[in-house]
Amino acid sequence: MNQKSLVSRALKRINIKEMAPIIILGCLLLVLNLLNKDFMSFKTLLNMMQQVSVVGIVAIGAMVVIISGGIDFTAGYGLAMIGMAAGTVYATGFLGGGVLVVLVTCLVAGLIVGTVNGFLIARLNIVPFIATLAVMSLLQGMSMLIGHGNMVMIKDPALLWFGQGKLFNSIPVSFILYVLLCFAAYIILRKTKMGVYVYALGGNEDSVRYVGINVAKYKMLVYVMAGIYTGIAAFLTISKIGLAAPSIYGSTLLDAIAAAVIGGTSLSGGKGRMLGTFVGTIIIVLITTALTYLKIRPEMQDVFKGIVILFALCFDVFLNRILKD
Amino acid sequence: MKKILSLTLVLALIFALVGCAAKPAPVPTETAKKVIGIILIDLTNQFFVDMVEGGDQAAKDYNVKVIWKSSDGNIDKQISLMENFIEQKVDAILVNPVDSAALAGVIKKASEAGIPTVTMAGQVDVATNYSTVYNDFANTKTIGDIIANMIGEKGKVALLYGNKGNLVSDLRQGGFEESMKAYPNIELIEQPMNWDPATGLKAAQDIIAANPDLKAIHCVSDAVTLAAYQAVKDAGKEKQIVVTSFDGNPDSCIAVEKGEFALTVLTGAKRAGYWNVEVGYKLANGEKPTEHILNMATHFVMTADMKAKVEAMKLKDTISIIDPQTAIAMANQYKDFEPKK
Repeated sequence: MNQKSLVSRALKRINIKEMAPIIILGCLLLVLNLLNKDFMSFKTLLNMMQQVSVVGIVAIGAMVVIISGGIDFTAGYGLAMIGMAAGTVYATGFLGGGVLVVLVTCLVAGLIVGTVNGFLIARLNIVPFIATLAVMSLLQGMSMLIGHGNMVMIKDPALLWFGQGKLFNSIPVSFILYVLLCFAAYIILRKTKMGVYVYALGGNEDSVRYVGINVAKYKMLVYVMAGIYTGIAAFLTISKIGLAAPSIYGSTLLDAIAAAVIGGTSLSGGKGRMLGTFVGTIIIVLITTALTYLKIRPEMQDVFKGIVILFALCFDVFLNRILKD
Repeated sequence: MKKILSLTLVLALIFALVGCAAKPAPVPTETAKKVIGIILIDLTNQFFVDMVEGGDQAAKDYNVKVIWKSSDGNIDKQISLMENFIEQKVDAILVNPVDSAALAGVIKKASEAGIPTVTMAGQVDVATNYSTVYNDFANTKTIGDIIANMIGEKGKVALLYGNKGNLVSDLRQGGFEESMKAYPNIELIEQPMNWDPATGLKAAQDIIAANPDLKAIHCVSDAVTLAAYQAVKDAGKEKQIVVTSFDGNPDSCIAVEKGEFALTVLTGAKRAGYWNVEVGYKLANGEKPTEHILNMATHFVMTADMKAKVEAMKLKDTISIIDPQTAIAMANQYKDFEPKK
């Protein structure tokens, strides 16, 4: 037995692949702490908790879709369209326009987006890449048509509480919601039939079909789940910033997919874990915060983000090579 | 069978393409009505949304047809939209340059085709071209001076700008940076917010967390300032951090009235839209103003207290100051608005 395979066996024993995102986060924190002593503080933690929820929730949806072997580009403009729909419902006072009505609007709008994606992909067998790209363009247009693209200010304290409220004066409500949604996704992926099939779909779709499982149904469910998660993310976004506007999509889509991938979700499908995506999201959110602390030119932020994502991907390839020995 | 089908489809496609080439674009049918083509930077920003509303009102008042197009922030798309308008032989083209230098060629082309052009919030070096300017650079410079005065000319000041290469953002960022040059003891922290309230909120949260001694935030667009203010409120620093804004939309004027923002500037997107269509209408009817740079009047919006403070500062530039309620009325009352030369 040579030295190389010893290393590989040791790494396998501590389950290095699943630990990879945590190791990357550890490295990042270590470097940041060396560069700026103020960074590692309770304040940074609270700040992170406040920022992580929207990207995190969208990332969960992205992760589930990617595990199933698909991709979903509709989350970004979906966020804008759903946010505008909710804002319009709020502004016009439809059915009273209360917090519950706004929440239901977000969930239903998310459900619709997910169902459309699912129908195109599962029933019509259109490639997910193309189908969601087309729906994305549709949503972009719709986000500007709904309410004529006018900004809506939100003043209902109950509605603002979800995005801005804090428990015990410190833990953001949005963060608690996010953690709950993580648990829900964890249970769906690990403890339900759907979870097993989602992984199987990403692994080998044909064999799943030959076994006699209703592939279309579970594919549909995957996109519906992603849509609903986007709906909840949209609800939190407008609550957090206190207004709805067609431009709220920001860089959410790319950040979410990057978070899932950094967290070890394999873009070829079949692999991915909730904890990994959770850590991946923290990494993505921390990068921009860190660059502000380090006073790095804003133009460098995207470059830096790209480097971290590439680093995570290379790390994955490198580990795979060692483990193969 | 399949072969025949595919052949038919290909032929159909070819005919469709030829058909398109034969008649380039639908030529407007309404005979007497002048047609003005307007190309904006993008249509997701509240500023441009409002501009369209104001412009449509002007179109109604002057009985012209306005075609709005969005460049989605992309200069290539903008140039091809310009070319389409030239092809369609519209009566005037108004464009919000994504990149002024890159637009010169196609503007010249329009001029050769006898179509008057206006660059909105930007100047292009073509003799026949008109520019409508909203004083963004000068006004933002004044805001910088006011902030510097309020914080005793030292400490940390944050600027949230839109994105590099966007003309409106560049003017507003440039003006602020220009003013800060005069205050060596002020440290300027800049972050882009991509015109997105969510991004602006995160940027403000990060800046406040990283700089506990931050004294002021200026954000170049009202929609984002309103979101960024949540970060100030959340940190409990409403008293410590001076917040200033730009655009003068009604929600922001209310924030000024409540004392949340120290000031905003009424460029009035609706007014800008109305005024630009008005200028376009005049040019389309053959008028040729002698002045090629047309300035729209802008107003600083602040409370009476703040106005007194600013007047005591003895600023170099004279500015027009109005109170929030007047600003709200003005923003919606753009019809009888006369641009100052």
